[in-house]
Amino acid sequence: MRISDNQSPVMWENGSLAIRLPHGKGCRVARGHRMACSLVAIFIVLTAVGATGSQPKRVLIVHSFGSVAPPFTTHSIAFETELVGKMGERVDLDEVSLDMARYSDSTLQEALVEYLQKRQSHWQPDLVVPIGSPAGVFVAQYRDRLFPETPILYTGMDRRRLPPDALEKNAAFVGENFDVPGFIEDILQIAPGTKNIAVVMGASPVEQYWAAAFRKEFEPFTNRINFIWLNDLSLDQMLERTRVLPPDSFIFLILLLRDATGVTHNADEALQRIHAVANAPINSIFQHELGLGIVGGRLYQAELEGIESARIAVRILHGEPASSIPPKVVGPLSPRYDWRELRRWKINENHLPPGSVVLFREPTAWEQYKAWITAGVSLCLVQAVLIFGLVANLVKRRRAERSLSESEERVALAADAAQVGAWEIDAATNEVWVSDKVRDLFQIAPGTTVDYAAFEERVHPDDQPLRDSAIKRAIETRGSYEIEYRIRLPDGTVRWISGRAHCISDGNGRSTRLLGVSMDITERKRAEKEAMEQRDELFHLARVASLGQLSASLAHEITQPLSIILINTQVAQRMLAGDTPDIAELRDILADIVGENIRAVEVITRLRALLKRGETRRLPLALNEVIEDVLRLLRSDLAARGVTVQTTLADGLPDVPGDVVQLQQVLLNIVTNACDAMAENPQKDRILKISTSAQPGKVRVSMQDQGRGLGESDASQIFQPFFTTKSHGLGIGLSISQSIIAAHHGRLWAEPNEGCGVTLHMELEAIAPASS
Amino acid sequence: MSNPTRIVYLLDDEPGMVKAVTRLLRTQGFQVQGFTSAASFLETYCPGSDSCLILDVAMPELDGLCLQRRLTHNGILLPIVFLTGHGDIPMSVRAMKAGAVDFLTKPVKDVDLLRAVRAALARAAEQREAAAISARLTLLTPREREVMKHVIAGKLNKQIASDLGTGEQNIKIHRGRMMHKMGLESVAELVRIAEKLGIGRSED
Repeated sequence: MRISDNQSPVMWENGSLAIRLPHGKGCRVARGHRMACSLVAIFIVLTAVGATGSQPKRVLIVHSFGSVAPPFTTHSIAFETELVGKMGERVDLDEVSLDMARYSDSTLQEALVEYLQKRQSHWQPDLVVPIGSPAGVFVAQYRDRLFPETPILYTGMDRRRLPPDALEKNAAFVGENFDVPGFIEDILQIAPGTKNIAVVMGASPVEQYWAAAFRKEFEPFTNRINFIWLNDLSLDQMLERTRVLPPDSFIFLILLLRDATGVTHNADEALQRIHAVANAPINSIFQHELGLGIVGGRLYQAELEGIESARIAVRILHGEPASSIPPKVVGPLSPRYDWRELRRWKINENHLPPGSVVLFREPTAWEQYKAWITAGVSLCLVQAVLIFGLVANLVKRRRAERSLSESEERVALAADAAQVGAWEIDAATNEVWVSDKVRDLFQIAPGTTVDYAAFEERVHPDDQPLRDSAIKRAIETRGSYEIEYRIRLPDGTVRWISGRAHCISDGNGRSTRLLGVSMDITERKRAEKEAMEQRDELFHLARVASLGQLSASLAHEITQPLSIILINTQVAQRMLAGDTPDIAELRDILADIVGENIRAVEVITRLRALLKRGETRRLPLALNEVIEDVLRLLRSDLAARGVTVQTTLADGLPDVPGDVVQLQQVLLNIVTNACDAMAENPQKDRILKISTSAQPGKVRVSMQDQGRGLGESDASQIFQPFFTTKSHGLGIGLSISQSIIAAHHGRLWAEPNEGCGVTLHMELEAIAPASS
Repeated sequence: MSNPTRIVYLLDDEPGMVKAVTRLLRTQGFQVQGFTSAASFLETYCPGSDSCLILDVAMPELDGLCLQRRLTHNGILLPIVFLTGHGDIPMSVRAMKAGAVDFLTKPVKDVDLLRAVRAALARAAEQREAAAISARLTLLTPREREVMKHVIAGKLNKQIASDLGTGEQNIKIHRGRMMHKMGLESVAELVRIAEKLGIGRSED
């Protein structure tokens, strides 16, 4: 506990008095006044502009007993601090000590006067402040010689100590007027049974003065109290005596500057030493001694005197005539006591006068640790509440968790069944959270930290760009994506993953997260692939069947060039057998042979492609070329059937994505069907018109025959499997053709003609032509 | 007998084939005219020469067999050698019945083709000869025709006179006129032509 007197710059700290001792001259400032000092400095700088060369106010402090002599020291520190702080301009402080406790010889005083006179030729003070009665007496005595014009502020002394006319000449007074009987009354107030009062006092002149004064004042009490005067003893003897005082004794310490043996003492230290050994309670005069071992009472406060005198010093320095200021007597403080001493000497607090302040109360466990106990209890309460809350919360959470874990289990079950793993990526930090299933899927060891890269390195290199761009787009557009990609596991197996994710943003772009699920779709992909293979196989079989029907024509397509080659070769042989072979003709023949050979190879290549069992491959195709290819292949067949094909192929058609073999197969089917349909027509009416045209975003092929037409059957019925009007064939050609076109995301449909026959339309998505 | 120009007509929708076959026939001294469409052939062709036609069966617009029928229908006796990429037996039978000289399947050997062409041209010559004889026959009187039949049958004048109930001298005159009208000098020649034209047999 710390107590600070508001009026005092001296603080009680941990029960002991901390005194800031003056050191050196100039701006000696207590910590609390440093700010004020700074302000002063600023003020000085500001006023210096208007009052160049103005001298600082000079104050000479005259100490009575040296710089360390309580209570005077306490007084002087308070005075200096307050003066500097309140002055408002620079103060030049100087001090001189009479050291009267040590030297009381008048010859020394004379030397001191001379010394001060010499100093003044260099440094003339604006104010002289004697502190303590010896200094006051000295200044009053030598004033005319030393400071005839300088105002004097007497302070730190009892008015009775000054000569009667001291205040008449340009002087002010701030001091105490000791109520000496009061000291005894205070003792009797708290210790009514006191029979002996041991008076501790030094033997210096001032102490002798006070000893006489006190002895006189004590007289009214002598009938009931035995005063034991220890002022003719050394400190050690005093200590000895105070140790063995008779019962019902009290020690009263007035001053101890110099003991009877001539040893100078610090009164405060002496007090503490006595307190350490004495068998009776101690009292004293000054407030600053409370805490050092005295019990307490109406104490005088040296600091307050110092501060009061500083205020008056300011007024004088600012030009107020010192004599105009009425003498100020600083009375004792309200009674205050040291709780520890009260307790030690078993002094009942009920005996204390009303309005008493008990300091240094060593609190009981409750008092001492009230805050802690309060805090502790509060903490316990808070904890209890918290614990209750937590328990309640826990119960609630358990319940929630149970239902959550139930639903989680359900979700997990569903997720497991669906092979779904959940994950979350923070786009800003790249932090990744994954469910165990995701670890399973991607074969990332449990417990290891997962980052985006861990995912990334599993993704099949071929599918990385697809996945990257999908994720990037989702983040940019705050949208979602659904992709299928492959991953490669550490053991080399490749699995298909379906990834769906949605980008979640808090709206201001601070946090962007991607929430997603991943699913193993390898089985589905396998089934799809199998179905695809089966479909391809079906297409292939159908193709082989159609080609089988065309075998004669197709054979002709090959034998035709071979026949030409044979004839040409034989001609050449004949020519060479002659006498004068025509070289030019021979060259021509050889060129023809080469040409026909190439043609035969082309036919074989085309046929082989059609017969090959291959998986679907989508490449950009020019439909016109596909049509021309098919017609070339069918040339012999068309010729044999006497069918004339009239083509109207549009220029500049966009390409379509497609499998060339499958599209040839479709066209081949449609053309042979048309030929079949027109087989009974007279040859002039066996005309197949094939045209191509660009439709919005699409390319259309129309094939118009002049056959029997659809008859009673529906236009869509002809695409049913095994639907046929022919005596030969299975009736799967058009059905398969439609499947192929559907697989190309296209459309194949039939439309009856105005007259006779049918037109089959085939539409395929166009590849957008590259913008130039 | 006169020796008219001998032309080999060639019709195939395959230009390479037309070119190659033309080349072959020309090296063998034939006069060749090649066509890739029936229409252009029909425009160009004119009867009156010892000609033949090498005809592709499978052609758009008008196939070989149809053309053959049309020619026959129009009384054009043009010996035809069929050349086909994928002929079958019924097709060849039909063609042969309709008077085709030969029915060859591609690829064809040069010798086979040349033999067929020669045969066709020979047929053309015969047909021209036969046509000439037929024309002469129309000049004969009924009596002269009867006498001719008997001569072909190998009867002597006296036997013929007795069969026809007339004098031997009369028979001699009819026989002489008949031989003159037919442009023949010997009975042997008459018999050969008669065999070729089938005269006498149908009337037996």
